[in-house]
Amino acid sequence: MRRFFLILSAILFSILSVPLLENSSANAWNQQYFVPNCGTTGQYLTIRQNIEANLVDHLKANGVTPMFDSQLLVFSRTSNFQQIPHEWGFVYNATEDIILDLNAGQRGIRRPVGTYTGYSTNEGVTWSFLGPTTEVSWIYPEGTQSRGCMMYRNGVTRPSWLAADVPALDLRLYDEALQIQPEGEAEICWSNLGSGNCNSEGVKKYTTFEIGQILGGSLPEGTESTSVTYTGHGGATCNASHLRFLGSKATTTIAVQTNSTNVLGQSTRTVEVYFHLENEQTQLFWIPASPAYPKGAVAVSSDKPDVDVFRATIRQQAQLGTGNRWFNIFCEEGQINDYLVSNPNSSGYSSWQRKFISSEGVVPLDPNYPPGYLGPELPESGFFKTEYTPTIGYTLTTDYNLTAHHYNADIKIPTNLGGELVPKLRWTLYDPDKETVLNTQVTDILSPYSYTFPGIDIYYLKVEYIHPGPPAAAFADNVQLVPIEFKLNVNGVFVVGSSDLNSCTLQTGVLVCDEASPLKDCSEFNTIVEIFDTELEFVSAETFSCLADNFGTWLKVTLIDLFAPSYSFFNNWSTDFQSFWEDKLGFVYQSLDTTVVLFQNTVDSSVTTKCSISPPGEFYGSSFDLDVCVFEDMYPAGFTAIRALMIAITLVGLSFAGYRKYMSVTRTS
Amino acid sequence: MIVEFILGALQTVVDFLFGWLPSIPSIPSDIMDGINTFTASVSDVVGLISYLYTPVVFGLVFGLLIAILLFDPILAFIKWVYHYVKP
Repeated sequence: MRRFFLILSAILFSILSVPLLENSSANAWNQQYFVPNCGTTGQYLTIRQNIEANLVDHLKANGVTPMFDSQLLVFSRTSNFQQIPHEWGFVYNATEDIILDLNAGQRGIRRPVGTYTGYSTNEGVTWSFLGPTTEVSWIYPEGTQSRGCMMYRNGVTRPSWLAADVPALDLRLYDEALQIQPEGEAEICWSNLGSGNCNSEGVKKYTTFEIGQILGGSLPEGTESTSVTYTGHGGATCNASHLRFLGSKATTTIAVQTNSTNVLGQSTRTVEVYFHLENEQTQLFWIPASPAYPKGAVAVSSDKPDVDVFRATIRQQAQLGTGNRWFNIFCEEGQINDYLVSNPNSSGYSSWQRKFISSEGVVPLDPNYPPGYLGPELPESGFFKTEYTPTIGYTLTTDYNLTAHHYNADIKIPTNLGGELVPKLRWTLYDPDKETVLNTQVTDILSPYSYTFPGIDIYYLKVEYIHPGPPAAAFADNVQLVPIEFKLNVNGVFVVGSSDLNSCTLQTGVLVCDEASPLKDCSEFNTIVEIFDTELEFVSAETFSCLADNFGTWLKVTLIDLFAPSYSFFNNWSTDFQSFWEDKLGFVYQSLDTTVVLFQNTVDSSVTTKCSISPPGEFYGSSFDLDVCVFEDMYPAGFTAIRALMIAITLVGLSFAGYRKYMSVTRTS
Repeated sequence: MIVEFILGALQTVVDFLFGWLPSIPSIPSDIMDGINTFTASVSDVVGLISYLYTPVVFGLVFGLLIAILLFDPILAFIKWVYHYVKP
């Protein structure tokens, strides 16, 4: 018998050890691509550029839509993309404790110093690094590797991304970003100071770049646009774009794109923007497309009429979530002046740049928007009723038991929003108490979202159009255009409000829709016959069918109203009932409740399954954590082996105990 | 509407029957805190074991363990039932 259990143990161990093979390969991969950490002297993460250059192209070529949002690297994929197991992955070498999320599988688990690896999964990947500093190495399916440093600046929880070795620096000014009041003329020039920090005294190395490309959008009628290229100091090429605004507003997208090579490790590229205004009455306003960031517009003016030159030194921080955003960060005033003064004979400067030299001071930021500016302007009234009207389909299945109301919404919005812009959506669903119950990432416009409603009640759905910017901006910061709010009356039979957009009106940027009736309009089926100038209306057979349908709908609604309590009522009633007995029974109730909770937690693996526990209190002056994750991450193969051994021993032991019990029963009987 | 009426009536009856009774005192908060800490610690340990064994295997092991520990009383109960059911 002992031999039998020994054989059984061996078989169990062999079966349970199969995952060892996978972890072994992961370990080898880890060792193969291990890279040293970056230390704590770096400032920015360079990995983004690698991703832009390689991974993104690869993903896009395979139908994956990558985008960046906040601290997350989000990759969504289309359904027709054939996933390759372990298509890409990363090595993360943490020099301090981090919080590593991988596809929400082990969300928020603190990971101490160590090296971590990750792979993609079949359903897209969300990677989140919340940690101070480290180097990250990305592995692509073809085996190539990129790596970069990530560091959180002091006190800043959002990472900054360096454009150091980016092939193309991409700054852009979004739609409705420039405004001249009153109408006038302005010249804009862009120059690139190359590498070096705004506040440092490093060598300002000019690099080659191209500017003045008009990407998307449209200039107002009568606006002229010309581009001038000239060579600047140090062999650099400076470009100027002359825009003559005859309208009061330039609704165009102006982009500065550089083709420069830079040295990895140099932190910031500075692009300077010059505006030359026509006369002293002319004011140029720089209005951020998103009212949320940055706050306020930049007003341009000067005390000297002939040198109305505005200088904005803009550092592209290419920040996740706000990448390609213009930062109205001004350099120290003396920096550019020092440089220009030290190179007075430079032939690379145009006349009006020299004017700048004689200009005094930098125009300060004006925290106020220009007069009459009311925020992002909608294209026209009836915006959503015409070319941008979304069609919203839905299916609702229900079993009337308060738990299985399944609402599948499928919102489709025309993608021809002008140019090659492809809008995206962000969904937010609110429960009857206006609490957020679903908040999606920015998603493709044709991606439907499903949500299972907990009960019959009224919910609220907000759909935000996201303006992704020109098509070249693969990682452009998303600009919210306008939210649409829908009132969803989930009553077990139908969803009201979302399908009838003809009744919607736009009120201060929010689309407000009337509730549609669940009953059909049957009058359209009547037959009207005109006899001797008299119109006679006859009831047709279709009318009877329609009325019958309406009766059936009315019957269902009435019966549900009669028998099915609303979710909010049932919820409140059960809460009141429970609190009543909790108050009356005192410690008796608390004892029972504690026992029930304990058993619930034991049974519910989603509550208790964890690899790290922190016992309360201190032991000899210090607390300690029992963190199995560390062991698993550092020695995945060893962890799997130990786990398999434990499971095998336990199951064999239990089987032996059961066998003993069985034998005792058969012996006694 | 009907179900809501019935539930509301039930609540009213319960309030009428038991509302006048004095409430049993609650467990002092200090003791409750200790109990909560204890239950949380137990949950942590169980969670750790569940993680080590994986939830599926943990459920299997947990069920088998309970079955083996309660084997004798369950067997006695079955025999007792069989004794009375037996024709």
